[in-house]
Amino acid sequence: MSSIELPMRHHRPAAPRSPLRLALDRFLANRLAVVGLIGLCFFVLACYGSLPWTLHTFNHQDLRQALEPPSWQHWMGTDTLGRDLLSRFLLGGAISLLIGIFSALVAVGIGLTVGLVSGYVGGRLDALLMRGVDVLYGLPYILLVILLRVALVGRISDFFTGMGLPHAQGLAGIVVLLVGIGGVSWLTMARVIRSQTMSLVNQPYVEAARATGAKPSRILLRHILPNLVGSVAVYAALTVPNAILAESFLSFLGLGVQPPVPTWGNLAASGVEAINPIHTQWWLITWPCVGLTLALLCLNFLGDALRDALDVRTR
Amino acid sequence: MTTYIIRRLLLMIPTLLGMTFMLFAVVRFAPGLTTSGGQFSSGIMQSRQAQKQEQLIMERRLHLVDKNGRPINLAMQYILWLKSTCEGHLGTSIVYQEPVLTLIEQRLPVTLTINAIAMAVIYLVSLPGGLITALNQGRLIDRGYGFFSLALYSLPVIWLGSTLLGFFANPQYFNWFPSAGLHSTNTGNMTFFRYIADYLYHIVLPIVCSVYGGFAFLSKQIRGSILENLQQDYVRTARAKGLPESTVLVRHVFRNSLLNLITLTGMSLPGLLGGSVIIEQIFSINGMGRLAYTSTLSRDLPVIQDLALVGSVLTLLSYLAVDICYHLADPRVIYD
Repeated sequence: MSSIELPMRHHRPAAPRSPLRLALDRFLANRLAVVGLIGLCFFVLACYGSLPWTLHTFNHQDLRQALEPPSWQHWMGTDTLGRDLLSRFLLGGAISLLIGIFSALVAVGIGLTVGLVSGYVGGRLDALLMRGVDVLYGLPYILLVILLRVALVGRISDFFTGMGLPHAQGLAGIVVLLVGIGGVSWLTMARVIRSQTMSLVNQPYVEAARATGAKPSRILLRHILPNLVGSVAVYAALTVPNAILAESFLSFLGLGVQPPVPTWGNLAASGVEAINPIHTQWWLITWPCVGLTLALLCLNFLGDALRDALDVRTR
Repeated sequence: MTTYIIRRLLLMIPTLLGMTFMLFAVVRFAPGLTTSGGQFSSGIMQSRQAQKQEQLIMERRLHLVDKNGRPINLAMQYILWLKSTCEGHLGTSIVYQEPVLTLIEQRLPVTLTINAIAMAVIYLVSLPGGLITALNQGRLIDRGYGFFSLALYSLPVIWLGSTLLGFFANPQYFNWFPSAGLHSTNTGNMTFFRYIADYLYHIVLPIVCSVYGGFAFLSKQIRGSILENLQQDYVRTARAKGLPESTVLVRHVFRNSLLNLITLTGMSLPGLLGGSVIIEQIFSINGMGRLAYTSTLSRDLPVIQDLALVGSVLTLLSYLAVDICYHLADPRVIYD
């Protein structure tokens, strides 16, 4: 027996932290990310919280008050038809954010499924799916969205009219953009998920799970998927601003959501028309663009911080 | 390497077939294209007979009807289109009444010039930007650069484009730049250098618009790969050998970081030829993007099909070029 006394430490060793906790710490340490998160929450609350009000007032015309600069009555001024810009701005923001978030969800859904299946099953199916991704990658995506829109918007609009919904044209535009932008933005995601799945499948713990008789569905959901959460979150966060931007492009070209249904994109587009040498109605273009820029800025800060926090390489 | 290139080229064939099929399907699925209705006639002052004749010629060109004027089914239309494309015949535009190849020849130089200059500017800022931010990781300059490049990236080009146009090409404010087009009206009696200067003067605003959003992504990538390389063993070895820090940075770190750039550059090559629809639309520039956009709106079928096809082929080729460049830059990368 030895009588040497080891010096006792007075404090307990720090509890090991989970990867999620570490990522959260890294995320919160990034001040810009927190600012982005707060800004985004503000936009979401303002745009969606005001829906009960804006849904009724966004198309209320008053030609006697057309093109008025911002005042106490109309905080953001009025447009050419005398509609209150504030309510159009808020509803437009709600729709733009919806398009961004929903197309990111569509992209995540397709990309994750294709990537997981392709990476896990491998072989012929993998080759086939990846050729499909190559095909879509090569085609110019803006053209695909435009053609999809041209092909679908009439049919969906007729369907909505049949259901008796108001603003069928605008609603159809929203649906087509959701599906169209989501349907072309999943390609990078599928590739990343596939390559990560392929490397995860060969990990010892997956082999062990398989040896204990776990079914492929269990292996995919319990062992592989949790390891992909980081990349999925990063790509989803980067897809949202891109989708919002794509919406504004398409609306600017007259191929997005049709007025009177507002989005930040088509509000900005109609504001551009108001820039002319004689009278510049600055409020028409400034508000939607400020909204667009600030929301994109918040989203990009968030996405950037998520990438730094979750990206395996930079750890 | 030669066998590799040949195999890659052969592998492109199924991908290309898939692309042509997709294109054909999407374009034909879009409404607005019927074999009747006379939407193909161009002239207004034409006799009925002449109109009918012209309609027939257009339909023949699009392989919608055969020699005797009977309609051809969709599968056969696809095969005929493939066949004539493989033989090197691109279509003829319905709207412009000109071969698509001619249209591309007219517009590609415009788009290419703007994009090439824009890309050069982006690299000239991003390369040193990425290097400096990586070397000052976490300091004020790193954060500031990151913040401003992301802020620029978040500015929608619609807004900046129209604002620039509204304030800097507007007699009411600052009439510094031309508001549309690429040439002054009196180009005929200009010397060569005057002509170039005039051209550059016209594309200042479009280039500003194509450039400002590109810094964030590229700088961030370069910064990341430099940070990664700084931690490598060979950098420590180089420092241990007593090489001056500048040599270590330039010869070891920077050059190895450029490897990652090959992929990024290659991926952006197809975009270089595509042209931005928005920018060309705002500044009324007749480039590739605007051509694609207007022909989609006017259902100019041959132009849409062939533009997208040319774009797809170029995309595939540039991916191959990326892989070959990788091998050239880093002989350790071997494909078999």
